[in-house]
Amino acid sequence: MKRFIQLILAGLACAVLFGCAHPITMNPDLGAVKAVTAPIDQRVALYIAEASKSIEVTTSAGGGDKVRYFPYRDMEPGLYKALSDTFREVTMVRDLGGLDKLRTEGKALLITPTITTQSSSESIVTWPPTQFTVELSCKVTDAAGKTIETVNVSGQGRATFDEFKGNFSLAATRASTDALTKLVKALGESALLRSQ
Amino acid sequence: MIHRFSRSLIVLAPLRLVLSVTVAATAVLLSGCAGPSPHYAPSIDNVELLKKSGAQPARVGAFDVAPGLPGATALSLRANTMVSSVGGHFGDYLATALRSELELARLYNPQSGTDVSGTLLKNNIDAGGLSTNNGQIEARFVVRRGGQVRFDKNKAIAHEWPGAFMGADAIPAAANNYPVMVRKLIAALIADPEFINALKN
Repeated sequence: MKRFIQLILAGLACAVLFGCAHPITMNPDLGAVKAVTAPIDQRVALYIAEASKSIEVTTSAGGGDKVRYFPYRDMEPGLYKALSDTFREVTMVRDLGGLDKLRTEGKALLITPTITTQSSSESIVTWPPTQFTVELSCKVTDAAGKTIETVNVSGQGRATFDEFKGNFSLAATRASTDALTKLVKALGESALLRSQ
Repeated sequence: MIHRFSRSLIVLAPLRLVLSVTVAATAVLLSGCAGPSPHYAPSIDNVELLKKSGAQPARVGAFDVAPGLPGATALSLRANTMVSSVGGHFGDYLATALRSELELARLYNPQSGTDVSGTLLKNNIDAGGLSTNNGQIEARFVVRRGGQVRFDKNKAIAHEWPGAFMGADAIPAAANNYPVMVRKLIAALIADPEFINALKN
């Protein structure tokens, strides 16, 4: 019993003094992701490899702690929603077999996202990030694999203590929502995509 | 509990440091906070299944909670409490989740004569484990058209995720896994051919 208590206290002291990586999510607010232009008359496929969905990223947070999250897994529904609002038809492909099938079914554009993130906090006493950045790059290729367009957007999210005390992921949620809102606008305004 | 000790602790005298760490540790373990559940994000696998199913648009009606259901309005995550981020109870959260799946599949129509409603029968999260934590949800789903019941079944799922010693790790992990549990429940519903048939003309 004494040994158990010592282990508990040692673990507690380590966690309190040395910090840890707290789990958050980047789930965007899908209600805020809406089309701003008429849909582009194109059939598109969103390609996020299954392996990408299991990539866990760790970035800085407050008080010397870090946060960890799954950018591709968390942003997948938002990316799908953004493309659904921008193009006539959207489907999801997760492997090369799916890509080949799509190409044999007819004309379709393939959209492959790349997500990079940063986070930070001015606070030394609370761990949730107060600032979060999502850099989102979407490469659009045709059935032959030729790059037609690359759209880059940057989403910013900030959250104060009063706001995030009920939602530790708030800055991340705001940043991913901001990035997707800008993505919808940028894709919708692309003359290259409308001319395909 | 999101407060942590400042790094300025290292400049404190040893006795004060020990006392301070003890107070902080007690606070971390004992103090409780209430927060909303995370936003629901639809499962694209569910959405793609719905789109390919041949189902016709439906509306989502009320999802009640069973009388006296523990966890109907609040789930205990160690010393914290998680409440539904939509409506007044977790039945509302389930209804919103199902609606968002149908919306993304373009199968939601508030004017549809087909109505999906239900009752939350079980809603539980055990977040106290050091090695694993788990949760269970069960709900009754009813599809009606023109006052006629076309589908009436219970669906239940269990979900498990890694546990943690620190509440600051275990509590957000448990909260983040609640939408995953709901996604699994809706996946179980969509995988039922009788449910899909009930949504067809």
